[in-house]
Amino acid sequence: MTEEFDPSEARRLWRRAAPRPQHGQAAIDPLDLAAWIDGRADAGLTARVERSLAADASLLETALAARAAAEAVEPAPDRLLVRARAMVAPAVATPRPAGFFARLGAQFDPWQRRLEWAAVGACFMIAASGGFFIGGGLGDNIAMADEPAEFALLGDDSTGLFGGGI
Amino acid sequence: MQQDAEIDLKALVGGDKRSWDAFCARYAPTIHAAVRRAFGTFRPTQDDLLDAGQEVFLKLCRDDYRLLREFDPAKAKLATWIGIIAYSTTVDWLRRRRPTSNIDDVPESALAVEPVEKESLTIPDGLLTERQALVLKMIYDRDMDVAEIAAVLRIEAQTVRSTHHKALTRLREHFRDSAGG
Repeated sequence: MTEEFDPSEARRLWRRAAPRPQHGQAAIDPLDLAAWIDGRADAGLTARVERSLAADASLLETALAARAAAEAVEPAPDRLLVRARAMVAPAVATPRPAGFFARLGAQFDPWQRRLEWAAVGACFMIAASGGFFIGGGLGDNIAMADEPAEFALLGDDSTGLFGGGI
Repeated sequence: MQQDAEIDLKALVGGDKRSWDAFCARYAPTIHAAVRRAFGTFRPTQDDLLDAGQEVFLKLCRDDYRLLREFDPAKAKLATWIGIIAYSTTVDWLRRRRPTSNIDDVPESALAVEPVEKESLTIPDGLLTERQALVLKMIYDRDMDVAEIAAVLRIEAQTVRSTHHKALTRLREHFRDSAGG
């Protein structure tokens, strides 16, 4: 027997029965939703996705929008394309050295940075030791420290310019 | 329509600029269409559409192309998946941009919570199949016609009609029985 439904009754029945989103309901992964849209979901996934779609209006809208967008033929604005392409910079190409010696030098390229740091370190050492020896070295400083008389003359002169009666 | 296979995803996520440029050219229309649809009844300016589209591209290349690395071409078409990402990203973007208002300035009617019909909670699980519920939702909540639904579900229009009819018959019997008992 075929029962007929008038549209208002049918709508009323659906309103009473419509499932609502349930808290804790497993979210649908975008890739699973895409598989369902493309007709590649297996029976289990199809049931899971369709249960969620029937209960979640925003998920259904997402699916319908994605399906329509995937077949869009209207070109995007050029400015969007320019902005998108600018997000990824081209890889910087290393220029190939010209000449025999340049190519030979390039063979030692991995060592170049280390050699540079070694040269900087050596220069620093030379400058530091040069300054040390010009200043008389450690021995002279110790010798000066062992001559208390001269320092005493300056430090303990009670009759000097700043001592005594002032 | 071009095929997804033309884009070398492996090279793209490896940082190849030419692959990225080809990807942009191929999927910019998809992204733009999804962005436009996500704006829905809002009236976006051209700059709004560009900003939202840019957000989608940024999301795709963020964290060293994390999303694109997770895509599995055996499961779905790249265009479909991009459409989902673009739509949901734009919805989130719009949500973040929506101006917030002081709760005291919002009229009480706007804060009212839609009453939940108790009857809907009495529907037993399994009364309708997932497919039947989805068909009814598409017809009565989204006003889609049978041909559209058939195209989305990849089934015959006649199958949609019979699914619809069986679902309503079940619902009518259920409510008749529960009213009688």
